[in-house]
Amino acid sequence: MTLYPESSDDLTTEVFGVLRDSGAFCCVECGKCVAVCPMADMYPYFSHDMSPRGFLKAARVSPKIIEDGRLWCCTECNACTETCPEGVSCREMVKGLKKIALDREKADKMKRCSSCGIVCASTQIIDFLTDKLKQQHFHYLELCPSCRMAAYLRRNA
Amino acid sequence: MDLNTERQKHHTQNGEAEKGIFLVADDMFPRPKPDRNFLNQIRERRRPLIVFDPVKCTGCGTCEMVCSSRNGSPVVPSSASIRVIREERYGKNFAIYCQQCREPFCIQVCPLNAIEKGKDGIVRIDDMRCVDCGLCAMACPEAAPLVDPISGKVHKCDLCDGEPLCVAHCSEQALVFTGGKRFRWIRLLRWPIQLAAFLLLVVILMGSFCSFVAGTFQVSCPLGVLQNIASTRMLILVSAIAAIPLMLLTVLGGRFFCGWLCPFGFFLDLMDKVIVKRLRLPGFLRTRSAKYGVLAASIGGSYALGYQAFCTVCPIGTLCRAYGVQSVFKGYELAILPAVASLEIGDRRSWCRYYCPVGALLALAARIGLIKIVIGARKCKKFSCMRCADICPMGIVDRRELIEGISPRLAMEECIFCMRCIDQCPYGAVKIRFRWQKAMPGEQV
Repeated sequence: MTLYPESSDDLTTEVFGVLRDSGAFCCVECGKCVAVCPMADMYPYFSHDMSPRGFLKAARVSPKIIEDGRLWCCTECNACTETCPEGVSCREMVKGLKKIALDREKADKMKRCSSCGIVCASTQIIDFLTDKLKQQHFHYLELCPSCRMAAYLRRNA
Repeated sequence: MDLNTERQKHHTQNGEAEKGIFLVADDMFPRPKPDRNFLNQIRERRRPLIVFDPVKCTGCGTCEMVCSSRNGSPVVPSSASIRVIREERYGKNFAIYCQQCREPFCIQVCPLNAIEKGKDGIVRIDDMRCVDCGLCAMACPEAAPLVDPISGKVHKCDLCDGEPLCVAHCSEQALVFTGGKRFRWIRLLRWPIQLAAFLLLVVILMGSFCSFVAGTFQVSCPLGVLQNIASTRMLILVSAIAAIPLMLLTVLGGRFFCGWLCPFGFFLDLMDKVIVKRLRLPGFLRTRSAKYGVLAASIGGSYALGYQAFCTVCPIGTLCRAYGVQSVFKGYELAILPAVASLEIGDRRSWCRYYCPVGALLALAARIGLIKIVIGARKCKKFSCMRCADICPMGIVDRRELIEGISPRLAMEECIFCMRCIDQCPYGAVKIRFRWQKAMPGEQV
């Protein structure tokens, strides 16, 4: 039921490539990935649409998935890949889709490091951290890990 | 609101919250409550830690290699739980590793509750539950749980269960495994001095405290002198000079009077030992600049009324006059002490922090003081310890800056020089320095 090979614009080809490389077409929708996904413990609005299974299904239907904000909820852990009986690498798929979204500047949810400018987190993840840290937003959350370490060196060495 | 209720609210059917229970990781592994056991808290202060000295480090990377040999497959620096970052231009090196925080952020944010703090104070990642999402590294101010860029695994220092390999192999002794300073002697010095000053001023001198004469030598409360001048509208040189010694000593040594000699301050310090639970005072009561207002008002009031207006209600003076041995009952003066001391249920030393005009006058002198207390950035453990912020009676150690990983600069006009921070810092980071000395690298003095 994929629509992919039929249309052939740039975006479709790229998304198709990402899905093929990550093995997304092998998904049997068993739901083991949903059971282990840490997003279920992070977001109260976790639902079928943003679980690995639902997201993968949506990605197979339409390349417009890269504009979906829920793409940026994923923490790129490896839980789903490790448990998948078919060897689908959801992490690679999400990484690839994020890259396509960045190239096309459709990624308004991502956060860049305020010092070096690389993409280090997303709005949802920072919101989750802020929420967990007793509603306090600290400046260091806007830095990528390596910039944080460099800041420590400048301050203390 | 817990995750379950929130989720029920988010999942609605026909405008009604969906019923049922959504299992989350917290249900299976409940998060531990903060430990209120007194003995454990003391043990926590003494927990052994790796201390790093950036001056000695040569950036050789031996610590990374031995550490990665513990973490299993390939022995490469990137799979270690300690990372040496190098600034080649200035020849600076710094090691990033887990500081085993007192209240770790990584435990709070881990969605799968895979990080635990053991009884021995070591924070460990449970490999069975960890899915390498990297949120702990995102939440750590130092990004100390390291994400291996090759395998994607998250590694975190567990102190090798008490015998760290990196310390054993560091050839320059830049990494030291220590339990921190054990003997705290300033405390043993301050309490007797405070007690002696209290007995001397309240029981023996009693009331003559505000102006103390010994032969031709005279010492007076500087605020009393100012009010005297304002009320009589003439300047008597002898009494004016009597205010100088205390002001001069404050310029030289900070507001040590407040921390070591003030009998009312001693009384508040004693109260602090008794109070179990503190309330939060409303914001308008917690303005530090209010004391300068009280100072101006007391001098202006004396000028208008023609007598020393503030001295009649001064907590220090009334404590000496009304609660001495000879004058057990002295009318309204008895009521002032409990009234002012009741502010103490809000913050420690509330009166001294926000209102005391004597302190305000000394603060003006301390502003141009010669010495300062600094928190040395190199030795300070910042967010992982925060002992100084807990112990400071004036609350001038900025918690937020410590969490951000900055050793805060202390405002000397607010500091009462009780030296609790110097005494309690396990790593000897807090020191007394001259005004013109640097506290951290690259600091503008």
